[in-house]
Amino acid sequence: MTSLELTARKRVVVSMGGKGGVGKTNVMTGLAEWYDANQIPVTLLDLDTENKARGSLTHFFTGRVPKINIHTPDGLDSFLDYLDTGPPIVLADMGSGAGQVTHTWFDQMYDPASRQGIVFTAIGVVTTDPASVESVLTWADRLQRRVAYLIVENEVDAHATFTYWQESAQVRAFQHVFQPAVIRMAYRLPHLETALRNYGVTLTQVAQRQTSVPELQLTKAILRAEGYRDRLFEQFEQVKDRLLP
Amino acid sequence: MDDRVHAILDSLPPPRARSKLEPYAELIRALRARGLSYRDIVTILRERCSLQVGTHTVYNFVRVRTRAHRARAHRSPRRGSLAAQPRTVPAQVVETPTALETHLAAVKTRPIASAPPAPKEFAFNEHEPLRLISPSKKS
Repeated sequence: MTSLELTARKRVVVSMGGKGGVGKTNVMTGLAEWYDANQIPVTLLDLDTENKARGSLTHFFTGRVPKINIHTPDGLDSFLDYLDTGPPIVLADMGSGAGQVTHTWFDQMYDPASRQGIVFTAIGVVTTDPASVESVLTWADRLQRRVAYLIVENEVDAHATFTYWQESAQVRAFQHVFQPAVIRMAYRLPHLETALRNYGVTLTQVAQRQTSVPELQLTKAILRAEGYRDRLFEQFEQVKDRLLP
Repeated sequence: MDDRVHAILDSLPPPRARSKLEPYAELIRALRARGLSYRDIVTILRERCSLQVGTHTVYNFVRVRTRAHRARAHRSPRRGSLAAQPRTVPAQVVETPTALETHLAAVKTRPIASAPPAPKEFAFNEHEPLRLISPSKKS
């Protein structure tokens, strides 16, 4: 941990808004649940301007998540506004295609923000698709050491392998320089995943029987959700130094 | 010049080393005329002339030359010489520079710091495909 991280007063945790459909919002939703379960106050921000409803952070946490338009000159300044007035952690879910806007913001605002004791974590999600890996590396090329890196290997199918993430020369170089934390998000049964997404229900709500959706009230769904959540929480616990101020 | 004159000249001790402030004598005189303190003069010499000198050095330099100047002024003029007529300096209004003006002058002359951009620790060419280290394991 850098000396800045040891004295950080506030942290912005942001998903790398690169390749779409890799599971960014799933990760961020799970992380929001982890903060809740540990009674850690956090501000949730939905920066996905393309995803209007289903599958967005706003959909899962109705009424709690402001939608921010990042495509205005000061859109990402909202990080700072919420850190000023709210909890010392902001969890922001970027939409795909947010790279250029975010990189420009970091070029302009990182230095003054870091002088205020604000540190950043960028969460990159990789799958078996090499394009997801390239997206992470492109972000790293622009952000360099201004963020701590947390990489989530998302098992999008039951036999997922992460060949391009684990065995490419460019990734090895990235890992050597930035020492990212790496965790795994286990495969989820597609019908359960679809139902969660369709109805905007979190794993916690299913596990704690807080949903009225019939197929999510079945015991098998409840136990599956509990298992997925517990394993995901264990993973977050391993890297909590990058999730807290 | 005859040999006797040469002999006299050669017997004289070497001339005394001049002060390093000598080239700035006129500047120092003008600054004193404007009412600047010795400390201010030291600052201006350092920042505008790249000359490091102590406050007392400037003080002594001014004092010695003021004495010499006064001594010369009191000597009786040569008869029939134009130099007999005292030089008059036209009166002019001299304003003492304010602290702000001194500060602005210092800001103008300070070196411009321009740090070069930090080199990238990691570079990724998105136009190049990912290169597997073990091609036989390609999925």
